[in-house]
Amino acid sequence: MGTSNTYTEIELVQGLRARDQQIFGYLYDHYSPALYGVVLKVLNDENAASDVLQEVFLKIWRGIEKYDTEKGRLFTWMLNIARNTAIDTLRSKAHKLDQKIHELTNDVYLQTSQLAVHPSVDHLGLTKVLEKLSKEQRTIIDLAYYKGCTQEEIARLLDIPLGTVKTRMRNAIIQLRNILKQL
Amino acid sequence: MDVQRYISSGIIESYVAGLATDPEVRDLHSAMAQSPELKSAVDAVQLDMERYVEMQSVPPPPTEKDKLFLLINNDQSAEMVDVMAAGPVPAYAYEAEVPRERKPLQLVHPAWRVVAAAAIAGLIGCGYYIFQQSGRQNEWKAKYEAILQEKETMIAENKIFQTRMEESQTMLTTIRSMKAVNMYTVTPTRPGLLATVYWNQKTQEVLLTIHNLPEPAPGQQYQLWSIVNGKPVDAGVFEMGSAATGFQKMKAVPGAQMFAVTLEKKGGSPTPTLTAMYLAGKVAG
Repeated sequence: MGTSNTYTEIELVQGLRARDQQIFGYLYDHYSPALYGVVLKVLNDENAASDVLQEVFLKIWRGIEKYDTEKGRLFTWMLNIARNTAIDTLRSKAHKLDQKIHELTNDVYLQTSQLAVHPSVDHLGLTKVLEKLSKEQRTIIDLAYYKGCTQEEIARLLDIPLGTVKTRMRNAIIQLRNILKQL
Repeated sequence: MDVQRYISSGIIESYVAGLATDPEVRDLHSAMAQSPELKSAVDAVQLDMERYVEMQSVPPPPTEKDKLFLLINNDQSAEMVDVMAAGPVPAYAYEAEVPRERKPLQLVHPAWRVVAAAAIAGLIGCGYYIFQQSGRQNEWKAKYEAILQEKETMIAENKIFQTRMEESQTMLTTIRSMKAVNMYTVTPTRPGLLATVYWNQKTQEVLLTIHNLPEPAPGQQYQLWSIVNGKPVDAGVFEMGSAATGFQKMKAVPGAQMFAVTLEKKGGSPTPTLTAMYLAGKVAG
C-alpha cells in the first residue's frame, strides 16, 4: 500500500480519535479492499458484503476509542471487526453447515478470471499459495477463518477425529508460512 | 513457562485462524503477557495469516465510500443532538472540551461588522433609489399618457380643421363659379349692403351669407325668395348663426331675376309678406 502520502498507525489512530474525516478516507482507501475481501469471502454475496462493509467501517469510526495499541496492530483489530461482523451476519442467516464447505469450493471470487478484474489483488502470491497448499489444508484454514467453524464442525465436515483438528490446522498454517517465506 | 509447549500444541495456529475457544484465547493472552518470546511467536504467525487474508483483497464497489461518509456525517449530527439533549454543560467543561467549535467565531474580525453595516446601508440606499426611480417612472408615465392624449386631441382637431379647410376650399371654388347677387335694403331706414346670394345657374345651387341683419324676434325667421318672372318662389328660411358667420346653403333655384329676403313667422310662409321685405337684389344680366 505504498503511496507518497502515508500515515503511521499511531497517526491513523490519533486522526480517527480526532474525528478527522480525511484520515478516515485514507484508512478506507487503503484498507477497504482487504476488509471487503474478508467480508465477501465469508458471505459469498456482494450485496450483503457491501452492507456489512459499511457496518464494519462504522464500528471502526465509532469504536476507535476501544482500540488498544498495546494489544495489537490496527490492521489486526480492523480485520477482527470485519471477520466477526461478517460471521455474525452469516450465522444470522442460518446457513447450513455443509453449505459453508460448498461455498468455499465454489468461491467465484477466487477464479482467475475474477482476480484479473481486481489488479490490487496479489494474484501471483495467492496463486502460488493456492497451488502449494493442499486442498484439505486450504479448506481447514478457510473453514475456521472465513466461516467461523468450530473444531467440532470442522471434524464433522472433514470427517476427521476431533483430536486431530488442531494438529491438522497447525500443519496447514506451517505450510502456509513456508510458502509465504518463499515468495 | 514452557513456551515451546504452547508453540508445539498448535494453539497459536488455532488462535490466528480463529479456531481457539474462549478459554483457550484467555489462557494464551495471559501467557503472552508474561512471555515476550511467546508474544513474538504469535505475532509472527498472525502476520502471515493476515498476509494470506490480504492476498484475497477485493476492491469494494466505488459507491460504497460515499455511502459511508454520508452515514458518518449523519452520525456526527446525531452526536451533536445527543450533546444538546444532554443539557447544559458546565462552563469549564465546555471550555475544555469544545475549543475547536469556538475558534471559528474568533475568526470573525470586528471590521466585518462595519462591512456588514455598510452592506446593509447600501442595500437600503439601493432600495430607496429604486423606490424613487419607480415613483419618477410613474410620474413620467402619467406625463407621457397626457402627451399621448394631447396628441390624439390634436390629431382629431386637425382633422376637423382639415375638413373645414377642404369645405372652405370647395366653397371658394364653388363661389368662384357662382353669380354673386348683392342684396340691399329696400327701406330707407335700413340702408347699406346687408346680404349676398351666390347662385350657380348651372347646378341651381344657392348659398347665402349675411353681412348685417338684426336678430329676428322670437317666433320669427328670415326667408329667402327668388323672383322668377315677377313671382316670388320660396328658397328656404335661414337661421342667423351659420349664415351670419359663413354660408348657408339654401333651396335650389332654377332661374331667377331677383332675390329677396322677408321676415316671416317661424318656419316660413308660402307667400312673402311684402310689407316685411327687408332686402332685395337684382341678378346681374
